[in-house]
Parts: sequence; C-alpha cells; structure tokens
Amino acid sequence: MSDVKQHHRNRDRALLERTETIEEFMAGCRKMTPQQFAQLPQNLLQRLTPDQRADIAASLVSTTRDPARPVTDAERTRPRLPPSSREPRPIWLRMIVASFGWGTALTLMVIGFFVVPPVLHRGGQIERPLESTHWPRCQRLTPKADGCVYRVSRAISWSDAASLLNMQETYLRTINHAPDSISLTASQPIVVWRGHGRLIP
Amino acid sequence: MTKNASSHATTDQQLLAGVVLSGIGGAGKSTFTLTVADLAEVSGKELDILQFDHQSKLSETLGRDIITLDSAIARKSRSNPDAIVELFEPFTDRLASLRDTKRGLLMEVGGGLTPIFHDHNRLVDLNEDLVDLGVHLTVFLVVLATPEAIGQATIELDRLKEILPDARVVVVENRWRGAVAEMLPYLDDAVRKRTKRMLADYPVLVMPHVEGTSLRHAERVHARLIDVIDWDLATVMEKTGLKRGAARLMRGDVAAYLAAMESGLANVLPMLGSGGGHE
Repeated sequence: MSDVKQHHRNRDRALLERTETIEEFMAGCRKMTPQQFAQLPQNLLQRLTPDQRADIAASLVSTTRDPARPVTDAERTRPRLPPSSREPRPIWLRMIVASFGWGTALTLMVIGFFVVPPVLHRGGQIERPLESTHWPRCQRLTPKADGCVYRVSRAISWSDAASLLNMQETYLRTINHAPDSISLTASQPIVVWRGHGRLIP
Repeated sequence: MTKNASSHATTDQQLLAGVVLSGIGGAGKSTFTLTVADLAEVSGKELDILQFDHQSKLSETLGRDIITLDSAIARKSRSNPDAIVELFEPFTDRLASLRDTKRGLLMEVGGGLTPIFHDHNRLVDLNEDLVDLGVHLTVFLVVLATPEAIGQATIELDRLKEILPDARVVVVENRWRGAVAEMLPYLDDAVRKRTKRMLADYPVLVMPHVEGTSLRHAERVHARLIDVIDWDLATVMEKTGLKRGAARLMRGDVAAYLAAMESGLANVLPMLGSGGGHE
C-alpha cells in the first residue's frame, strides 16, 4: 500500500471516477429508445438511484411522445418507394383485402353502437373484477400499463418496477401487499392498477 | 492463559482484541476480517490475524501467513479438554501479552466451529481471565439478513452473554441481502423479539451493500481492498479482466465500501479511525 495520505487521495479519485462513469452511463441511457433501455441488465440499472431512473424515464417518455419532435436527417432522407413502382396486386388479393376492409368497418360500427354508450356512461373508466386472477396480462411494464397483471421474467427490485411503470414505489408495494419484500423474484406477478378505474365486486 | 498480569488496569484503548463470529457460514466474516485488517494497516496499527477455520481465504488475500487453529484437530478432540486448551493457546497467549507486544489481534471463528470456541471459553473461564488482564475483548457478531442467519445470531448472543458477559458485542449487519429490520415480519415471534432487542441493545455496524459484484472481483483475484484502490486503472483491468467502465465502477465501489466501513468502525473502534488523517 502507498502512504496513507496518497491512499486517501486515491480513494477520493476512485469515488470521483465512479460518479463520472455513472453520469456517462446516464447520458447514454437518455439517448436510448424505451426498448433499448428496458433491455439493459438489472445490475446496471440498480446502480442508479430512484431519482436518476426517474430522470432517465422522463426523457425516454418525452422522446417517444413528443409530436413536435423535429424529423431527423435519417428519417427525412429515408428512401420511399413511389406508388407507381409497386408490384400490381392480383385480383383475388385485392378482393380479399377489400372484403376484410368492409368487414372490419362493419364490425367496428357494431361494436361502437353497443359498447361506446355504456363506456361513455361510465366516464371511460376501465373496470376490473376485484379478484386480480381474472385480469388480463400486461405485455410490458410501461407508464401506460394499467389494470393488468405482469409476471416478471427475472428478479427485479420494486423500485425498478415502479420506475418502469412511472408509479410511486410505496403505492405499487401497497396494492401488491408487499410492504417489506426486497425484490420480486422470477415469475412473481405484479398487479398494475393506477386507481383511475372501477373494481367490480 | 496466565493470570499474572492482573495488575494491568485496562487494555490500552489503542489496541484491538477482537473475535469475529456468526455461527453460520457465508455471513461475511472473512470479508469483515479482511476489511478490519486493511483499515488497521491504513491507520498504522499492527494487527495479528488468527483464524479458527480450515479456509485459506485470509492468508491468500493478506499475502502472509496467518495463525491457523486447526479446526480438524478441534473436531476430533472435542471431548479432550487438554487438547482444546492447547489448540487455543495462540489466541490466549496473544491476549495475555497484548500490552507488552502492542500488537492487536483479531480471530475469525469458522461457521460451524463456534460451539468449540464457546466450550473452550467456558472450560478456561476466559471471561475471568480477561477481567484479570484488563483486556477488553470485542466480539463482532456478523449477521446476514436471512431468517437462518438472524436466528443463529440471537443464539450466539445468548451464549456470549452467558460465557463472556464482560466482552463487548458489536453486531455487524451485513447488508448484502438487505437490512435485518426488513426481515422482521418474516421471523417467528420469539426470534423477532430477540432480534429487536439485539438491534436495540448493541451497537450495530453496517457493512454496506456493494452494487454489482465488485467485492467478488477483488476476492476472486485475492486482492486486498486497499490495494485495489491504489492500483491504476490499467492494473485493475488487467487483474480483474474487466473493461474500462466496469473497472472504474468496481474500484469506485470498493472505495465507497471502505470509506463507509472506516466511518462506521471509527464509532465502535476509535483506534481504527482515519489514522493517518484524511486531509
């Protein structure tokens, strides 16, 4: 070991470099798509504080939702196939497509006629049975997921799950009756319920 | 152990006489022992490391011979009091000569070997010897946040209160698996009560959770933590096989862990404070 003062200087330097490395990692995360961010290994994400994760999550959401985002050069210069150069479709394919089109439109009209008025009557709220075993499955843990149950594929901390869902960790723990557990184990279900809908007994 | 040193009023406060135990394996005793050895070196204190175990982790990492009390002999001769007393002589002799040699000592007791350690202490009435010598023995009880480890720690605590009532017990809470308090709802009522009392009645030193596998990387290459901090980045990468960013994180994690342990230990062992002075 070097002398004591030098050792303490080295310790300070190591701490500073760690902070810089985490900041560089965060900067890289902010440039990612939500899909890329979601695929990062948990051991990397666990290095971030809840505030840091929330900061990154906010920038990810704003990137995907902001309609005013200027079109990038890559998008602008992407080659588009002119309609005239497309291969002409055979007549049988055009008939099937047309029939599907009309069929879909008709189905939507029927659904709209019978379903929309009751939904409007309930104020557009989602309804779920009290027993979450009958709830649909969440495809992913995203800020949009609601009224569904997600099964984690690998161990994840509650704070990470809350961060991905953009929910308060304490609230998420409360609705899942897990006030004290450290983390979710593989295949453990998470009930996602933001409290905006109705629970039907 | 000889009792002819009874004229000594008290152990020099600058000397550590300590035992590290947990009652089960894998609780973090060796990591804690190595950390104390590192911080003793930083603060310029001489410390003899002893182990009552069969592992070679301590000697491989410290790079020097440590005094090993042969656990195999102990298991075979548990019914032979003379053999047990003889086995622990390196420990008891050092306790007796602590003030003369000015060398501290720290002994790690292996996972399943604490009953033999307690047998010995009961047999020779170590507590009385320590009082006569004016040696303040500190027992570091390492606890991991699992029901088994917590339950075992409360059992060890009861034994220590009975056999070494004058020893000072410091609970070392290894946060690798979370906080002990987080496990309270999952414990039996009796264990929960005893655990709450343990956390309330004894000083608790927290071994912080280290992200990733940073300590494991150091352990794997038998590196002392203080050396990892002093290595340049190229050496960290070469020794551990980590890439640049991961190596920086690993070295930073080790630095943060040591800083936290130094700060925590300074509260319970002032002699292991900042030592040479952090300026």
